[in-house]
Amino acid sequence: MLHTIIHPGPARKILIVDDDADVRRLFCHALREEYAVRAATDGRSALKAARLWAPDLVLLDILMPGLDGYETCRRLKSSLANPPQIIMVSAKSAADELTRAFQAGADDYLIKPVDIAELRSRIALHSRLLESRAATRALQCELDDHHLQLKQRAAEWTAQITAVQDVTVFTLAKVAESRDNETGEHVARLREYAQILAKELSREGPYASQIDDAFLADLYRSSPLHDIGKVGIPDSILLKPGRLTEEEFEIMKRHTSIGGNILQDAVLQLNHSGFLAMAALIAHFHHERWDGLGYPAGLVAEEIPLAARIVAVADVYDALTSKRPYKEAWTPARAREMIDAKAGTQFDPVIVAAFDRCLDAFDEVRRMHESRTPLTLGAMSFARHGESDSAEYSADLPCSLRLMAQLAN
Amino acid sequence: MSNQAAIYSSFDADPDFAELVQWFVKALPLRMRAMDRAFHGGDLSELGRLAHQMKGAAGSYGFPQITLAADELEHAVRLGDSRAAIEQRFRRLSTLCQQARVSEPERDIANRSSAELAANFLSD
Repeated sequence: MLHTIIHPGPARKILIVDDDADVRRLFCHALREEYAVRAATDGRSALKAARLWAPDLVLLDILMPGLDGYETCRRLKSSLANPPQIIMVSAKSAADELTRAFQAGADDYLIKPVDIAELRSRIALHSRLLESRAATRALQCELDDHHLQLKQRAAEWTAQITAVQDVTVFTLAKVAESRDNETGEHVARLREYAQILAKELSREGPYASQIDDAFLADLYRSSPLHDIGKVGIPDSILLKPGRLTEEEFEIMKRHTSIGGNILQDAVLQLNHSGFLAMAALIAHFHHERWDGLGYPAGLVAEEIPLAARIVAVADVYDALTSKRPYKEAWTPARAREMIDAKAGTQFDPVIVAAFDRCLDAFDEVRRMHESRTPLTLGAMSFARHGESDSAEYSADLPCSLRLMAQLAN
Repeated sequence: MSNQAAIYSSFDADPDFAELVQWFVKALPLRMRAMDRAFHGGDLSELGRLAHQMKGAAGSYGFPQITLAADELEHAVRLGDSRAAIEQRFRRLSTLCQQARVSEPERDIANRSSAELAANFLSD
């Protein structure tokens, strides 16, 4: 919007600074019809006038008693929030005057004796410059404002999309879990446990450098999907009360690769994989063991992705401390003993050490979820079954526990 | 001193500035008196400063010859020329100043006292 150029507004203010009264009088006379004009006799009174009157343009003599023109120019340019255009006016006395004037911050330079026509046209030029500068500044403000609004809107949209994604993914995880777990609270607790462990590991130790904010955010979103592959396990096996046969167990173990593959397919459909890549790794490898005896790949130690090693501990802890139709909930102390005992065999010892430091936080999560009414999510309400049906779900022992039990035998 | 030859401001075509030029011309003796004091008092840096001022002002009022002479004087002072050389340039400037006239028949500003003029020149 260039309306400021069309509408000149109040007259521009010009401050004339010269120690020669005749020069001041001549300049005032030449400019007073078109501009508001004031005069100062030396550098100090010029600085004062500039502060109080805020001129748009200063005609500044160089050789003056006291503060000379260069220093006055420097101070005018540096001490005012909105410094004026400065035209140095000098009866040349030294060869390097021009250079020094521009170094001091002057915008232009006129040589005395000054031709009045030249003075007027030069000032008109600077006036136009000031106008277009003001217009540019106004435009810039508008642009900045617009840019800020766009950024805010983009942030709002991103937050909305992210929130919908979060809820969608979490709901998907709970739907998948609902087949073999009545309450659907397992994924909610596991997510918190895994997050607590990862945060603890990010503070110190060998994994601190691998765990940044992005890792934590991805883990929080992806850990609930660890058992998504159970959708590919038939009811006869998934929901079987009691012990699985060797054959059935082999089928059960496939939920890892099924989940990993489903999520990997999803990753391939996206340019930017985001948390789904981590979700695929967790689903695939959360039943691997530190000693290489896990499944499906039999990876050893740090070959197992870190996120999957973290979820493995969180998964078993939650299974142990949860009440199941075929078992009471273990006390946290007993669950801890079991997990500690498996450090270096089933679990990454570094993660078990971190787990030992986080018991209070784990307890708090468990108690918080206990006090909550199950099935609070609308999306889960269809999964509610009568209490009497609970026997149907006796196979909800996590595979890790099932494996542990079978290996122990 | 050839007082008969007058030099005129090149502003003669612009009546708007005539009165200003008159003020300038009337104040020239004051400038010369100040320079004379500086010269005879041996204050060469003050003489140089006044010559510099004159150089800037005179041409702006349409007296380029005076500016030229003032420039020469300023240079001589700055370069540390001999007293004789400085004096010669000072006299040359002095002569030109005495010859300076507004080209129009000078309007009567005698109603303003010279004291008022002096006060105006020295004020601010």
